[in-house]
Amino acid sequence: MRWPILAISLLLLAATTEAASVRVRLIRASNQEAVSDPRLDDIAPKLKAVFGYTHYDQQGIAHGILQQGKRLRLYPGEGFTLFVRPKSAAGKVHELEVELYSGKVSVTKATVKIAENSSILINGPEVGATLIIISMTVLE
Amino acid sequence: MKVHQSKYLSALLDGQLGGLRRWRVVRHVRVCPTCAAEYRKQRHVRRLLRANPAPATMDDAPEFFWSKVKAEIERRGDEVVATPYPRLSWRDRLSQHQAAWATVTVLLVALLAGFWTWRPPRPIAGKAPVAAAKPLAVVERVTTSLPDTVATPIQSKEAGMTVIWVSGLPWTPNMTVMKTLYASLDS
Repeated sequence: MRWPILAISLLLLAATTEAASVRVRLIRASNQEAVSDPRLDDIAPKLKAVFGYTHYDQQGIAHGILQQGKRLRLYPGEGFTLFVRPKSAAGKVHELEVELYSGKVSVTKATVKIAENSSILINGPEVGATLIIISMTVLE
Repeated sequence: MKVHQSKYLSALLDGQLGGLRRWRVVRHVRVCPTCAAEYRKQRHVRRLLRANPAPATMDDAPEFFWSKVKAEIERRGDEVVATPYPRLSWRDRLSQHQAAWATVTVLLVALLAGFWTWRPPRPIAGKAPVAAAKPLAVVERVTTSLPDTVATPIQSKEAGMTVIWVSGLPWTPNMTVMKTLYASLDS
C-alpha cells in the first residue's frame, strides 16, 4: 500500500505547485536562408504576417516559472537578457513588467497584460540583412 | 510461490522452512489474502491442538497403526481430495482488490484536490472577465532609454500577439559588431 500514498502525495504536490511559465526565444529573420527552422513552426506563419521576412531561425531559447513579485532573468542568447517580473494575475491573464537588455544596455521596458499562450514580440537591431526578434510567450 | 500451496504454510508453521524459501513463503503470505486466511486458520488449529493435547490412548501398537495408515494411503492412491476454500474476512476481501481500491482512492483525492485548488478567474478592475482560452497580449506602457530611439506598441492582426517596435536602433553588419557596439552604448 506504499505506492498509492506516493501517488497521492505527488498529485497533491503537483496540484499545489501549479504555475505558469514563460518562454523567451531569440529569433533571426531573413530573406536569404533556404530553410525555416522547424522549432518555430508554431509561430513562423504569424511572424511572416507581422514582419514580412520569409525565413525565421531560432538562435536561442530560455524558460522560467512565473512567481508573483519575483524577477526572472532569462538569457535567450547573443548577449540579450529579458527580465520578467509578474505584477499580478487574474485567471490566466498575467500582468508583467518586461525589460530587454542587450549587454548592459536597456533596450526597452514595458508593462504588458498577456494571456497564457499569447506572445509579445520585441524587435532588436538589424544585423546585416537580418532582423533580431525576441519572442516572449506565457505558457500554462 | 505463485500458487496457493498449503504444504508450504504447514511447513512454515512447523518451522521446517529456512533461508530463501522461508522468506519467499512469508512474503507471499503477506500479499496473498487467500494464503493469509489459510495461514491464520492453520495457526489457530495448531494453537488449539497445543492447548488441548489429545490423550495418548491408542489401542494399537505404533508400528501396527502406521501400517494401517500406509495401507489406507496406498488404497486412496491419486484420489483428489477437495480442500475447502478458506472463508475470507472483509479485510481479506478488501486487500484482494488492492489496485482497484488504490485507483478509486487516487481518483477521489484528485477530484477533491481539483475542487480545492480551483479558483474562479478574478475580473481585472474595470474590465469584463477574460475567458481562459481567449488570446490576449496588450502593452500598457512602453519606454526606451536609448538615445534617438522610440518604442511603440503595435497590435498585430494575429490573435494574441503584440509587437513592441523599437525604431532607431543602430544597424550593425554582424553579430560580433552588434555585441561590441551595444557594450559601449550609454542608456
